[in-house]
Amino acid sequence: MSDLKRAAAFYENVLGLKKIREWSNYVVFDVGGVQLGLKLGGKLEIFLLADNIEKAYQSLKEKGVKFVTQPMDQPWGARTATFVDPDGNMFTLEHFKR
Amino acid sequence: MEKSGHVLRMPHIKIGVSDLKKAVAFYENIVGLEKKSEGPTYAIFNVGGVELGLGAGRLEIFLLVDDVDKACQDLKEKGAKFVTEPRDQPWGARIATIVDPEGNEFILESFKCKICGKFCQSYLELVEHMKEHKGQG
Repeated sequence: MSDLKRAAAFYENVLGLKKIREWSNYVVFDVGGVQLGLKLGGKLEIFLLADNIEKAYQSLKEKGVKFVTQPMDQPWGARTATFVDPDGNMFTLEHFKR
Repeated sequence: MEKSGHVLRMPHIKIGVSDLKKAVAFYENIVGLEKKSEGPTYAIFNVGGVELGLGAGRLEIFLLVDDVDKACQDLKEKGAKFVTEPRDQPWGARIATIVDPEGNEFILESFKCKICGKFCQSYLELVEHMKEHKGQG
């Protein structure tokens, strides 16, 4: 998103989605149980909840999966690791444990 | 401004793949997703209630709405742009494609049984529902 306020207004007031949280650079909406995040800058990202990032990372790597980021802690409280499929589609595995 | 409230859930995300067999093997055997359906040009996996579809073309995000025609009309009145008008698809959905102010596209869809009018929550639910009609016939 280049203009987060304008985008957030569209999703809230036009599409009618329920806004859950709002920060200066990120807004989260609920779409029937799936979180739709609007981010200032950047590209589309799909998040998959994993039971354990380290184990998932290790196990998928052993099976030949390419990761573009190693497991790391994120400021929003998740631990994440991003892999790509054979066509280059990216998925970010995430886990929330404090 | 009154909220539209047409969008109910995100039933399906389609990922663009070039080699379906290879992609299916990856998601099924390596990532370990549950395969629900596989045809010559499209495959569907279950990711905790959201369908992940693999097929040709680019990534597409589907949003289930109560009524595609009403949603399209209502959202247009609120200034939303559509890149495709409501139309029936061979797989049983009625769809229309909306674009946000940044150019991100979403496909609004609804699944209504053509025989009894039942409103289904997803493509796979419609497929299951149609089996019941087949059993009766």
